[in-house]
Amino acid sequence: MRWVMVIDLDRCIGCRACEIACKLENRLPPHANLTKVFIREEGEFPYVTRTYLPVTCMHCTIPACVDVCPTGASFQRDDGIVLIDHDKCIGCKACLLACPYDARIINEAKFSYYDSPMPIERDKSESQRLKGTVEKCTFCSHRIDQGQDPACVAVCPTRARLFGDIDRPQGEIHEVLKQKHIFKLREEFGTQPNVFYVYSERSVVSIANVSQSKTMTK
Amino acid sequence: MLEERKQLSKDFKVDAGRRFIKSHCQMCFNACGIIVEVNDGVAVKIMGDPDDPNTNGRLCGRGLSALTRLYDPYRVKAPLVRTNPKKGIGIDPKWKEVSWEEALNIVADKLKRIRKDNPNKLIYLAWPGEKYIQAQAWGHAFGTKNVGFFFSGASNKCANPNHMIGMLAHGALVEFPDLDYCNYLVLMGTEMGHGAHQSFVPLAKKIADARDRGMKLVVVDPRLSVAAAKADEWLPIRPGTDLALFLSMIYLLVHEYKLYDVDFLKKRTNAPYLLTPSGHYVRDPQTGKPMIWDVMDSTAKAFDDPSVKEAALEGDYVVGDVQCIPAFQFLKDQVKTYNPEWASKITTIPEDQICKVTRELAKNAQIGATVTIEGHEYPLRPVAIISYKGLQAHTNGGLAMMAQEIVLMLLGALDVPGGVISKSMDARRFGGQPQLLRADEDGLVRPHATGWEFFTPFKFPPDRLDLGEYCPLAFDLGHLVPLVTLNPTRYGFDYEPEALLIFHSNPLKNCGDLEVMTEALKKLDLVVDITIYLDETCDFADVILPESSFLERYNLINFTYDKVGLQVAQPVVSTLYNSMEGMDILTELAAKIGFLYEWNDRLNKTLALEPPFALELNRKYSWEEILDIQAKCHSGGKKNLDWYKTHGNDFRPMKAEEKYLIYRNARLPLYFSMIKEIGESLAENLEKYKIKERFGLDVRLEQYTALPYWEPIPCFGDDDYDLYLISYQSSLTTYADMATNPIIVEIAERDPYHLTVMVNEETAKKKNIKDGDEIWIESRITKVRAKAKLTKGIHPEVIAISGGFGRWLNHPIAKGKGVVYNELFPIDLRHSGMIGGSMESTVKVKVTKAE
Repeated sequence: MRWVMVIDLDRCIGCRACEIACKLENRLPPHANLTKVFIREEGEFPYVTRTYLPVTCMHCTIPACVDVCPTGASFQRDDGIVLIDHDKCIGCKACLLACPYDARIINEAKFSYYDSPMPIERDKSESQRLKGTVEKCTFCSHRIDQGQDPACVAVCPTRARLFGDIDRPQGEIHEVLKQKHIFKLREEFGTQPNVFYVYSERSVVSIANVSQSKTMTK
Repeated sequence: MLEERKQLSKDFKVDAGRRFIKSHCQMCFNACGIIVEVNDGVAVKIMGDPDDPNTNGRLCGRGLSALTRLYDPYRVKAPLVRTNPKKGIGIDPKWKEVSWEEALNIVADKLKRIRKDNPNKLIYLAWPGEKYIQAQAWGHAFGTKNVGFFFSGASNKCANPNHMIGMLAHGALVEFPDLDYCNYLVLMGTEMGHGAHQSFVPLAKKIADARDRGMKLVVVDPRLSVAAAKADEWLPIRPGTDLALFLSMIYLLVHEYKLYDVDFLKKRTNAPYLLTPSGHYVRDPQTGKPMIWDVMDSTAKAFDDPSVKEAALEGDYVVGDVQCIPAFQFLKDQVKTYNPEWASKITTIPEDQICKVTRELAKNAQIGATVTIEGHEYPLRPVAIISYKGLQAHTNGGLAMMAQEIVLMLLGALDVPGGVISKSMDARRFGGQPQLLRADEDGLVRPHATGWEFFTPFKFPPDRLDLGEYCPLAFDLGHLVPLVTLNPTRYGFDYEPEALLIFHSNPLKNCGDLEVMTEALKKLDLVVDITIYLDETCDFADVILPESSFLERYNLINFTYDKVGLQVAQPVVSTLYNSMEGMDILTELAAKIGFLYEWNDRLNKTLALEPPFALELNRKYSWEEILDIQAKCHSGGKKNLDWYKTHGNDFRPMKAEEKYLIYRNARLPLYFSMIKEIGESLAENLEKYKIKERFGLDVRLEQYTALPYWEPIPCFGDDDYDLYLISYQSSLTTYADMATNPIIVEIAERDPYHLTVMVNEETAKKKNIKDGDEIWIESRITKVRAKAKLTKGIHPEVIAISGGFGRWLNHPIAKGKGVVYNELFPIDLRHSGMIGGSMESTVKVKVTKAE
């Protein structure tokens, strides 16, 4: 069993519902994001394209972050999901450097947008996460374990994000993977990412540029 | 931690346990189903409701982050009255907290006097999202004619011409593409399904699905919008010239390609109606019915004469001793100079692209094809053109909308599978069943207008401060109200407005010319604001009545375009603070002022309530009780509000016969004769009362035309100012109050465009402006400062600002972020469209680098 996310770049419209759903589901403090949509413009007027590229932790099959973790805080579940044990994390940031996808952040634990927290923000102080430790996308393992999709997948207005077990032969993700072109980001790092990007002919021009690019504007 | 908990229970009435409550989102008016997780009395999370068939659990960022509105520490927490008589931007009103009784009495005393004297002296601006029709009914019950989007206007941010022309053309308050079948969609200055416009979440998926099955998308927009970025083709157009593009599409279809749906035109439109040289119907001398020419019998017959074998669309004829031609021929003659070469010069879209899109539209329309759905055979015309505010908030927006409908009629693509289908204005919105449209005596479609009067008869002296009696086909010209308020006698009024009641709107931020707005606000004796937080306009209010958040209230509505049934909203937490449901505030006021009878009567009519499930006229109901009666009425007593509270909704998809050709035998006006006739009657009245001579008003009678003609927007050709300024919205920023939402503002701050002004790279180079430079944007009214963001994704003659930001209210999240730009726009009659009612939302500006 291996959980994968399929992101359909034909369908993504950069509305950022995924970013916000993730933030709220995972009770992230202000200015912390575990998934982001990158925007890239290309071409010359009037032949201009803009590509929206959602990026998250790729839950790599060979996760560089787990290898470098000195305390064993970063670990991989049997179903492929890469998680952090916050009690073991010492905030050394080795994993931040090792990750080819910039998918990890440090929990700054500034709880509120205001001088005193709103009731929804008060919960954050009770969260298991500890200040100064590392945060990352969990594929919403707490939701998956209850049979739900990750929050970003559940809310996506265009259904650009799909989620499923790649080892199960049926299912929505296989349909899409069969029908469209596939690429993964920065495969050259050899970590075997488990987020698949798909696109069709109508997005070819813009995708070609994005998939080769090492830097993107946020 | 314990400290905090204690504080929490002091702040909020807590009920224990963890619950999931069904409701619908009201962060915009599209009412997506949500499930709110409540833990120990605190709402902790919002997700989409998987049982809402419109969204299936999907939800946009606005809705997901709605709890920041509920728990916004800057909410108004009690009724307030001003103690500082001096009013002005940034001048502290020195609010004093008072009881509800005291606040309501201050308002009721004044309004009682006004109602007795002349109810029109109250201006009532009501825009509480999805329930605006119910809320506006209160103004009608009060008796003022100044009710609706007055003082602010839907005219500058909505799509009034769409509503007006859509209604007149085919009973459509709003138009949607039939995405189950559509193969070729043209979005004109709108981001339907990609950002703004209606039903974002349902349509985002429907459009994505349609594109995956091969639907082509063409986007005409000065800016590389999200929709344009996703489109197969982006045609950057000069702002305010969409009308020229449509006119040349008509030219190509009828003159060059000769591709149009003859059958549809003959049987389902007034294209064959014979017209005299002055453009009036040739009428049967006995019956008065409009006539058409039967080619087979070589004679004129009444339009509904069953013996008509073949109606003529072209040629000229003599009936009695009158020279006449069919309306279609009239159209052909009218557009004969609007060739693509001409349109290209105006729109800047290359000739070959205009031809290509028109040809593809005609080809994809598959004229002649049919499809059988649910046992009924329909024409299949899988092409759609959709426009909204971008195209229509111009002085020529009504004309452009007429031209758009004519293109669609030529293709036979209105209200048929694959084409443009309509959301009509029937009682479906309140839970009723869909209703068919009927024909008027001339055989033309007659629109529903539940709770909305869209035609204003002439009257002198006038009542409507938006000059409605002089502009009978404007839904509202609310943006003119502040101007007229400054000097009503100058426009022929025999009274002065005295009070303004605002229900969920912020005119100071969302209209134009700030000086006019602030002076008008200062002039009024009493300004009352039913609001959730102290916005810019509150600086000029006398009484603040705090409204509860949508997560503390009930509602029952259907805002979909393709479902029948109702959907609930209900409180997920006990009401925080000393705030009230806005509709209950209105009822309290109606009781105190003494028009409970009229208020209940209006609600009965608006909600289509009938005995035994109707409101007793003299009883005071809570909004919750009213909704319970509404639920019972439309379910024949089978369901009550409690049923909806548990189940969320009872939506079913509309049947084919409820969706397609809902006007059965009525015809559509290819030739908008009613507009011309209303204009002629207006001209007589204006002449009779010497309105032009006495008041110097030019209400632009030329716009009352049966067929569109080219008319530039006022700033077109103003060469002293070289750039067009436009504004736009995204799915996150529809509605300006998103600027107080910390989660959305955080994203806006990371986005390259939301808090900056988009400038074309080449244009910027010529002006020596670099990315990130501070610049001045100067119109003929004033200048504002902004930060430039250079991009290739915008027309070189255009700069674009994201609407909704640029706030100066006292809210730490919103204040000072983005560009204040509304004040660059003039407010006057010359910058207003007469058909539908629109405020010109493009202005020409100069841009210079700020030192």
